[in-house]
Amino acid sequence: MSGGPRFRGVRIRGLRRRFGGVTAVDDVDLDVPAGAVTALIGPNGAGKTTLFHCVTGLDAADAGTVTLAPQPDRPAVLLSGLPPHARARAGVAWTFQRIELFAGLTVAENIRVGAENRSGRPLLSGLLGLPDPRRAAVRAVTGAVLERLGLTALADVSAGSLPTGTMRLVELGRALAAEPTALLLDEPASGLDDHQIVRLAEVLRALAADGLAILLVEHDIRFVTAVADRAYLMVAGRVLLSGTPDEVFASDLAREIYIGES
Amino acid sequence: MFYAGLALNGLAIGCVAALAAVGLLATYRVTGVFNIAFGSNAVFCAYVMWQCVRVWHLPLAVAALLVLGIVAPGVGLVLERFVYRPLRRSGASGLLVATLGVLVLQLGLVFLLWGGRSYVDAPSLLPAGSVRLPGSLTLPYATIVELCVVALIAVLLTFLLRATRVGLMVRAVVDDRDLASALVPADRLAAGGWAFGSFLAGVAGVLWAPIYHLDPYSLTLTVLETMGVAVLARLTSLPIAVVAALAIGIGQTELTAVHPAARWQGLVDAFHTNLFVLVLFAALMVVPRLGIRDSGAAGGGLHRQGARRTSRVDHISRLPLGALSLVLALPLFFDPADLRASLAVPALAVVFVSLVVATGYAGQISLGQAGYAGLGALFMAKLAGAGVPWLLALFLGPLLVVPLGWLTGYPAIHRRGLYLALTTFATAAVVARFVFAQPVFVGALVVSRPRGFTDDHWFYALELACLLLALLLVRSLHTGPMGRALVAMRDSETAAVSAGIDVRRMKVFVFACAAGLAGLGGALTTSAAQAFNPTDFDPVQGLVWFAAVAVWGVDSALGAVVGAAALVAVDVGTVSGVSSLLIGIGAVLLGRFPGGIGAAVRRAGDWAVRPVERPLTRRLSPAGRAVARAAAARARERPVS
Ligand SMILES: Nc1ncnc2c1ncn2[C@@H]1O[C@H](COP(=O)(O)OP(=O)(O)O)[C@@H](O)[C@H]1O
Ligand SMILES: [Mg+2]
Repeated sequence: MSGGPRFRGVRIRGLRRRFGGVTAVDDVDLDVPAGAVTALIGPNGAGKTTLFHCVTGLDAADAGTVTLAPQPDRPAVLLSGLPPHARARAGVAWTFQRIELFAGLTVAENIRVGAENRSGRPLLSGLLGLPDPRRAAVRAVTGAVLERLGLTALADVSAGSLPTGTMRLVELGRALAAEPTALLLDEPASGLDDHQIVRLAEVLRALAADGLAILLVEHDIRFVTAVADRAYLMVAGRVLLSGTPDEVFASDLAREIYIGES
Repeated sequence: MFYAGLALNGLAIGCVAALAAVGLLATYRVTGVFNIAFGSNAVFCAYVMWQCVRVWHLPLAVAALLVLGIVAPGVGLVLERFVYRPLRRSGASGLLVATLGVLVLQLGLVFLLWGGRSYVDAPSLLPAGSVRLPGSLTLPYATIVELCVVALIAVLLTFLLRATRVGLMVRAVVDDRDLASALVPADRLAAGGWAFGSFLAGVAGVLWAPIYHLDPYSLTLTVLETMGVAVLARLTSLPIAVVAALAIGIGQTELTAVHPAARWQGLVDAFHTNLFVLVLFAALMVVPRLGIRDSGAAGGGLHRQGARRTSRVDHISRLPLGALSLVLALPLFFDPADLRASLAVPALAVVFVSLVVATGYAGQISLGQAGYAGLGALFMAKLAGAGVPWLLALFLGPLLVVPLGWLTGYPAIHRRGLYLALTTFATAAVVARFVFAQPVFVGALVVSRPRGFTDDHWFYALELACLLLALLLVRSLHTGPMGRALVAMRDSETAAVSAGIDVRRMKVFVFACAAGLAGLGGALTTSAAQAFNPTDFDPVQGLVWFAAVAVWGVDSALGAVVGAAALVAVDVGTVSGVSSLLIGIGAVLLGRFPGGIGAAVRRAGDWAVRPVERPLTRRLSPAGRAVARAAAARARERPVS
């Protein structure tokens, strides 16, 4: 096994997911180390989103394990078997390929929801209207995330009325507000304009520098090349190649797959 | 031989049920709408039939032709044109509310035109007499005719949908009306579908009325209970529906032959008279999914789109609260008779607020609040009877409903839309049939108020205090972290989960809270009347309540209170039926005014204090520009194929 005992980040081993006759994810090993952006690329239907869901818990893997090693001195958390909200609380945050926002809340509230649910507060104390002890922290985080993503001016705008690109940023903001150890993004750049793509790249680099483990599923070759430290090429459920983005994109296999694209 | 005779009797019951179930299914197949109003439609036609024959003394054949040939299809045509066609894009939940609205409206009409009276002399279309079978068995002609009608409809419809061009076009319209309208006369086909569905409801109603009492609530409920058969058939298979209905009918009569120890006899009797409710409930628990496209959005058409205020308490919402408190205190100065009538208001308001919690805040359609309300009343009465001080029992009783709400909240975790609506309704129906209708449970209840509260003034003040308590509890479900989490859950469950919200626990918790509140409302209702009336907690009554809350704005607690006051005021001030009629019309129009009256008022308030638009800034930081340049440069260096 690579990485040694001091590995930090998300570690996927022997992951498998079958849908009837289709093996969408076939015995995949993958490391998403902290402090780096790991890209997962591949043609449509390769199984990237399915892999993603098996890590977040929105889909149940048939075999394999997913572990999260948050701190060097603490034991790894076995994510497999946990329900998705528990994985979120354990420090995994993610965004969706098909945007999922809270249209009935404002931009700031969307982000705030991400910040205030990372620890399970007893429901009864919420019902009785007892003050939330984490209130000040939540506010601070919300403000910081808004600032970081350049959304401060839109804080009070209804999230349902935003253009696609901005919605993606809000989704990212909601994920970041939980102050995760690992961040999983499923095609975050689709629907973004050039300005926003650049901003996103900038933010992802900064987050990686802060020590976050980032897994990026993306089609946009330029974007992947700009932000990723390492890329994995997935085809028909299997990871066939890995290396720096340049190496992977330069391979014959990638050229064959991406012919005509970009 | 004995059992064979019972089976033949059961066949008669099964036939009638099959007729209703096949009608419901057929309507679904040709319109794409699961028509909750099927029951009320049947009842309405049955009342018109009664009117034609018993009051206007028309010959039976003429009356039948009039009702089944003109009235029933006509109702379908009118509903299609003015209710369902404008809503064709509003998804399953919007249609569900519309069908509920139609149900309430039709019940209102029956109350208005016939005073809600029940009749035992509904004219029968079927021949009397029976065929002799070997072994001294008899088979009534009526059963034979019913069997033929059911088989005819099932076979004809299957043939029509499978093998004809019209059938193909109908299926296309049901699948995607907008797409189909480019190729086929979609509107005319849909109208035809509704006319046919309504005709089937008419047939069911006219054939059922002579067998059961002609009664608005109970006959509607009886027809609705055959929904279990449709669920067993997963809303798709007509043959399964027919076989299931016949089997249940036969099972029902065979159970009459079971004679256990005397003290269990009541229970067995309850089973054999209510097998259809049980099947409805069991089917909903067992059948994993209906063959139905249900919209993911929890309450489409119920909620207003756009951001809700969940963080700041605004000044406008304080204004109506103050005014409302004043108005609610007014009855304290009314004369005794009017005060007596007003006692129903806070009690009903608490029940309505419980609906706002479940459906408005959490987005979980709950048609079963009447059941929880009744249980709250029952528990309170039992506790008071056991010697618990009355005031304590008033709160302890509803608290006992909370665990039941918790338990019944579990099915809600994986169900949504129509499926959840049916499940909650079935729960209320089971409770009504197996608890509220059983003398074992509701006999000898102590519901009189103790000294001190026999005076209506004091009791009304206590009710207001309870309402205030309910509103305070509900506030934290609407504002702050909990309110935000609930809106999040309503808008997107997957996203809520990704934010760390335990959606399952949250749903069950909200169900439990709503059940407790409904229980409190029920306990107050019963104490106000000083009598436990099972009709107060009739499941069909629960449907009316749901529609009323939806009309006043499903996520507006204040709207719910005003709605309760308005409902009681209209009921007291006018003849019965007017309130249902108004609520029905409101619910039917809801698709065009999402969010109901509450949202309209809020919109007006928002408009009055609209903020000055802030300019949108979208500027890049210097670092951002650097990354942009770097990315562009690297992309230029590395051309990929
Ligand atoms: N819920 C599902 N049921 C059946 N098949 C599925 C399901 N989800 C994904 N698949 C199949 O799994 C394969 C991988 O899909 P996906 O993970 O979405 O690919 P990608 O995200 O790489 O485009 C596809 O062949 C897809 O059809
Ligand atoms: Mg994908």
